[in-house]
Amino acid sequence: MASPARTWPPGRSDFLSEPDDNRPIWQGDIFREVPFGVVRPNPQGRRPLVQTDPKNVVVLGYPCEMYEGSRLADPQVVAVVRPAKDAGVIEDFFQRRTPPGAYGTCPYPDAFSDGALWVADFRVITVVSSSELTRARRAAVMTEYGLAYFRHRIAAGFTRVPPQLAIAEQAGREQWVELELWTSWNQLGISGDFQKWMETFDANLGSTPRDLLEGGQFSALHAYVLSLRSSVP
Amino acid sequence: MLAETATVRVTKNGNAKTLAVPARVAELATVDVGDVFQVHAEGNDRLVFDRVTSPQVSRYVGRGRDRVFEVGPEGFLVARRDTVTLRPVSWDF
Repeated sequence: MASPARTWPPGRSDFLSEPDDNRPIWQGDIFREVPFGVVRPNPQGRRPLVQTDPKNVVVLGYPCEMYEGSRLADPQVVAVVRPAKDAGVIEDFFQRRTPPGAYGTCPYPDAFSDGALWVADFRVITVVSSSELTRARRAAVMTEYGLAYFRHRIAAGFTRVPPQLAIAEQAGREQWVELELWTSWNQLGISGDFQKWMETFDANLGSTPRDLLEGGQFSALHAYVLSLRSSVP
Repeated sequence: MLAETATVRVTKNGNAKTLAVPARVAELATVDVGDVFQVHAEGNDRLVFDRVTSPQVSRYVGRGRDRVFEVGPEGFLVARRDTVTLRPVSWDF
């Protein structure tokens, strides 16, 4: 289980980490300069204006819906990521120790390693082609705790009834382990389709990896994926 | 709603500070040894405790794509007054 931030206010490393190309694109990943489509009223005519400006974005979708098998689905739902001051979120948001406010956003400390507070603004959302979410554009990924906080904030933004952070962490544990397994799979260069493997009966495991994951057999799965390294030519 | 209030004195406990919950208040709030709370400060004069539910009130149900995480009502926070007024979103966000 991810532990809550040991210090408060949280720093960048509590919520975010550097992207690793082996890690699949996942909910909460932050990208730079993604073409962001907006359809706005046209004061000169009846046809609306279509604007496509590059924006920093965060992926909003839940991983189950982000992927078709192991392929990133199209399109992907994203929210804009902007400086906190532009959204009206105070720079000392976390220092105040009263972070329940600013419900329409998820604040990130130092998201772009510039020392500034940034926010995902849930009020500005669109869909983008998954081909725009390249690894080269990926600026940061979330830690397990950061992802729990992000989901907590999504719930606050759209329902005003967020789960306790501890509950958000607990609910995300299985899915986080799946992300770790998939990343290991890629790091080790194991051939084959990871998601297909997850759903296929494995005689060595006596069940499907998915069943073991849902049964909480996290250590056994990690060990088994590491053992598959020997099958790589 | 609690029907009683009591004065709580803060004592030093190593580097931490301890607030002892009076037995009557603990009983009314069904606070027991081992219970876990999240606590945050509101301003300089108010501490808010939110009970962190035990794992028993949250669990996975279903299998595969039908698998969902069920959480009891105690597992959710009720949003309080928003202390931050966001700037309105304009077309030139």
